[in-house]
Amino acid sequence: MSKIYVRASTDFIRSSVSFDGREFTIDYRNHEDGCLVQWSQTKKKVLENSDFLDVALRDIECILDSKSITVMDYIIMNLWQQDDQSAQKFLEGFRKILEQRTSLVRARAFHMTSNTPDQTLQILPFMDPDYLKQITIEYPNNDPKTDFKLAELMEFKQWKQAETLYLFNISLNIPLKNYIHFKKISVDVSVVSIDLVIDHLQHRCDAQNPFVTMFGPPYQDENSAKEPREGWFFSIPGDMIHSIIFYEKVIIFNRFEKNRAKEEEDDEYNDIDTLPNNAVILKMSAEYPSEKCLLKLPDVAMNKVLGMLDFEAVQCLRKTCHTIRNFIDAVEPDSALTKLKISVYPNYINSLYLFDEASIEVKYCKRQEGCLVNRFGQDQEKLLESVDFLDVASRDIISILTNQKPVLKSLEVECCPHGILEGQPLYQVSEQFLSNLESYLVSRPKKLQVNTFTTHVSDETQILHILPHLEAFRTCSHLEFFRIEHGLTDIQDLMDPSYAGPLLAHNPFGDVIKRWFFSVCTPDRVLKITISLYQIVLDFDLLENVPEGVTVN
Amino acid sequence: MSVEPEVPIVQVEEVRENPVLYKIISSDNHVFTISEHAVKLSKTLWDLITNLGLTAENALDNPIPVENVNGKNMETIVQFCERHKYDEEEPEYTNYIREFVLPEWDRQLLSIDNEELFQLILATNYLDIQKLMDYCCRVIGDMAKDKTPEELRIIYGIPTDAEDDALERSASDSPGPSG
Repeated sequence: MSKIYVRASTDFIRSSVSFDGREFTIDYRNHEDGCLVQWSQTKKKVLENSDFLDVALRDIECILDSKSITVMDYIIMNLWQQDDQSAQKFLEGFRKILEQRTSLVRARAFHMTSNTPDQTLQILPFMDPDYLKQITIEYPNNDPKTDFKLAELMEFKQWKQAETLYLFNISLNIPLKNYIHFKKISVDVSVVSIDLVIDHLQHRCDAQNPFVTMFGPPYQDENSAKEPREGWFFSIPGDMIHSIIFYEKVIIFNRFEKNRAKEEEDDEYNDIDTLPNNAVILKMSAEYPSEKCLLKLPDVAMNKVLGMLDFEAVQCLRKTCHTIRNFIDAVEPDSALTKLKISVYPNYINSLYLFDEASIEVKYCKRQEGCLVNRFGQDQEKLLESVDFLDVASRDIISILTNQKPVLKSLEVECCPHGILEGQPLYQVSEQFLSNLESYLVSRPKKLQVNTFTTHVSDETQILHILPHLEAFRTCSHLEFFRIEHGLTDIQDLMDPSYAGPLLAHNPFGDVIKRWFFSVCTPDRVLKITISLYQIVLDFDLLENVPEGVTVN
Repeated sequence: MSVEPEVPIVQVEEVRENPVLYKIISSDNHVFTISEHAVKLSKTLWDLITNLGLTAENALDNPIPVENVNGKNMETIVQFCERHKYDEEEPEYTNYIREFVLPEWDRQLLSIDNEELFQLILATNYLDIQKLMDYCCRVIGDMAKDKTPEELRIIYGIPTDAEDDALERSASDSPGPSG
């Protein structure tokens, strides 16, 4: 192994030569009397009135001359500690030496580190392309440099003939065809674009596969169905891995936690979502997050954006990351719900949410393993393990009611679809659900405002879970219609006997109905309570519509 | 005496009926002229003009430097303000989603890529232009229609929970002001 290593900083140059396993190092320093030359711990000498740069370059010239015939393994130039002016001065001197030579420098590998990677263009042409196999260009800063003038470099014979290219901390976006002649390449790419993938596919089964040239040999194995696959694994922020897995006709992009343990139930179609033991982890240079991140908006803008999203979009946004989730939960954007219908059955609860232009229907089913949540109109269903369907449904409904700001046009709670009696399973379920709802309604700082409340319950005690916690009926300007279906015929006995009335009439089906009228806070309106065989309806009417002679309580 | 930068003046549509014009210099030294009615849409600029005591006579001689807004954003802002300077006051919306419709002209103006739009929002926030803020947010909000959380992450550049955690960690690890 033979190597020439030159390290230059603003007032110091070190040149090292290695051959036959021995290394000779000489340091040249700027000294007040000239140049201080040091070649061992104890041996040093001041060359008076000499510039350290001139002395160093002269010696480097001698070393290169002595190696004119042999082929060196490495030429390494490390200039990153120099300021621009000193680096340029050094390069000019070095280039002058190279220009005066009668032959090009023969080295198998050329490695240059500098603050201005473009400086490589000044030296690389003097390397003999017939011998040069490896080019390494390094930018010392960790932020990948993107403005490197690679186009010019690509015209060099040295570039075209070399076999290996390493670009460290230099991010490039140039077509892959400019790389694929290399056998091996390491480069940061700022974006893994679809073009890159297409390029890859075009070169599949080709020795010059661009993914291979860019990211090295793939991890290869078979899935449990014995289909061969190959992939690359990239580390991304948050201890996560992004994998790209290629099957013969399928590409799978996957993201998973670096330390995710393999699960027994992973089937053959669940592609690699754990890191294989011997996989190589590569680094992506794409910076994250980008400037376009929503998180960077001021709160005032975020609030406005939230105000313009419909319920579903807010819920989707809420799922993206916890910063946004916290923000949404703190802001409590309006659910803007117009109607809510809840139906309770022994084994499931159905909730139908109506918005201005959309509706969402979610069914929560009781399962042995937990709760199966199914959204109407979507094929997906999700099993929430070890949770009770009643709790899940209650929590979801309550979370939506919590963010409800305007008056709800209609609230319908159906707990007795086919008539139930105390002691039946549905009675227990409905009791539990109504209790959950009641706890929430009680805890609200302001009572829930609804225009129309309809309920279908087994007995009047169930009504009392909800009704007292809606805005008070007689003083409320929001509640306009209230209907109770009941299976009991004596519910009219609940009416205070001191009330005047009732007015007896017949409904369109010929059934007898009894009607009471009550004054309310709005002078020209009355509250009308109508009891028929199966239902009680409470609604408002105009005072002028009260029949003559009927007392308004 | 202030020295005016030697850069091209970006001329916006002149206002015949209102002769009072102000000059604004963006962070990259582009100079814009804007009419009095239009500049009033920006609370920040109008406060500045009032506090500086600029008048019809001396307005053009005293350009207002706005170091937080670049020329590209300023151009959009000036166009917007000139377009909407005589607008009647917006009605109070009770429901943004249902009632607020973005005019076509403004939709065209704001048909820019997300990164530019986000930058424009920051500039709008700084200059305190309520109407433009509403319009930008409408555009941002419209992007979210019928999108999955994963799609929203891409559109809005939102990190995942894990990435978010990592960013927070790195932010808390980085040296902050001492003391």
